[in-house]
Amino acid sequence: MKFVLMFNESADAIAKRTHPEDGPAYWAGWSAYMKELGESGVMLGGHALQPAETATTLRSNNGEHIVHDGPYAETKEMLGGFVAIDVDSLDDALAWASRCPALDGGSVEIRPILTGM
Amino acid sequence: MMTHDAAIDAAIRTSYGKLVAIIAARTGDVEGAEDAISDAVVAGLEQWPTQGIPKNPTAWLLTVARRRIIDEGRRSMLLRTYHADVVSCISDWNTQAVADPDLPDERLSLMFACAHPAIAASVRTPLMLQCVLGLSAERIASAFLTSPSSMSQRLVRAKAKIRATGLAMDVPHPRHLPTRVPFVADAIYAAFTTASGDLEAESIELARIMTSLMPEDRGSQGLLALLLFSYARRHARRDRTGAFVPLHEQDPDQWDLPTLLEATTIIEQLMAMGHTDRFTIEAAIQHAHSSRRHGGSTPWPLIVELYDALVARTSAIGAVVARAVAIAEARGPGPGLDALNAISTEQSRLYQPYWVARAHLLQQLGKGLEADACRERAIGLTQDPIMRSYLISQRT
Repeated sequence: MKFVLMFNESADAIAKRTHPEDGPAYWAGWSAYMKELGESGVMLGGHALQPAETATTLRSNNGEHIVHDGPYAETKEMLGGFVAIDVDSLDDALAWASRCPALDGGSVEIRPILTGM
Repeated sequence: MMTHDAAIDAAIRTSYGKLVAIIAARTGDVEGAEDAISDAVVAGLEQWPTQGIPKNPTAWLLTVARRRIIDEGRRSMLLRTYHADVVSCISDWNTQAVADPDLPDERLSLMFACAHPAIAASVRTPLMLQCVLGLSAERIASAFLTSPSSMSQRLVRAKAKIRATGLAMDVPHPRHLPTRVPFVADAIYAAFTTASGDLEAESIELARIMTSLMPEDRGSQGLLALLLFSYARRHARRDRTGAFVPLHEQDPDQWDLPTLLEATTIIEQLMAMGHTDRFTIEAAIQHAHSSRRHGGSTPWPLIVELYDALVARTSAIGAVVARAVAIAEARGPGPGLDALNAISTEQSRLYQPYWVARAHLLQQLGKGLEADACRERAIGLTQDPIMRSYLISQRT
């Protein structure tokens, strides 16, 4: 079964990315995790994302396009990245999610990928 | 002094498993018993805060649950006549039971049913946590990293199987105890270890129920001792900043002395009797580690001997990895690494403690680069953020 794991990171975690002292440990955790996903053969692909403040959102209001700076909704957590994986079951997807550094203050949303119906 | 709410909570908690056991033993229907008790608990939660907690909350809840089962029986009697028997059986026995403040404690039968070989191994522990301790499916699902809906389904299916197959809801004949007790003990042990510490107190409660209802059984005492040893060190596993502290760096003064003493008393009795099952050996290993509490050093050669005996009984990868670490302490990192090399890739691939141990031993052998590569794998497989920070800080 194919799933996307969406890594919702806390603002604190995102801030660590560029922090001189906390940065190296932050990246070490992620790089080890992504490497393990890759080596286990379940990974289909994925990306880390720039922080939410770099987002641009396009909406349509009665046919009129409205462009916003920033994400659609402000939340304490932001989508920091995602991977798509191919595993046997939701339990396996949960096992991979449980090892994710995003859980340190954030959450991981697991969604089955919509395949041929 | 307990608050009123806490007292109500405690009364319900201790009654829950007893009531499921009492009712299900007579109806063979765990789910029906739970439904009836849930209704009774709701009634209790409504009435007790204003009317006070009854003298015998268990009997009070049983009376309400019984009424509900009888009503339920009347409704479906046309469809299923057997309900009539159930109802008459419950009403006969119930009048007696309520008159007697000491309700029978039949939770042991319930534990044997939950850990019956006919129930899928993966659902035995969840079933026991729910039926005996009344934990919700949501809480159990989180502890076992499963979605709440699929955990509920598994539990419902298992209870349906108990009902459909008329699974014996009683303590097995003494002749069968040696084969059946390990299923119960394994299920309790799994509750302690699986849930990354979330269910430690609950598991000890289950082990205590088991030892108190089966005082003659040595195996369940070994299990209780093992859980208590581990539980005694729960505060020492973290330092003041919350960071992880490995066993050899723990301050023995931080170990919880009363719990440690209780465990020590049990294991010393078992060892004096020459009892050696899996959990007793594991408890003996923890006992050897606790010698540091009295200012002694850790007796590694003895620990290796105990692990040899353990690995001869179980091929579980946890035991094999721990044995390798003990060998390294007793005879040096080289022999320890040899012991790790004997483990198959298939077994070790996703087993985080294996990579932690391997990194540790390679580091001691001066192979820093290889050690870092193993540590990297361990970091990628770690669930606990505190453990992850510790491993990251250990990188060279």
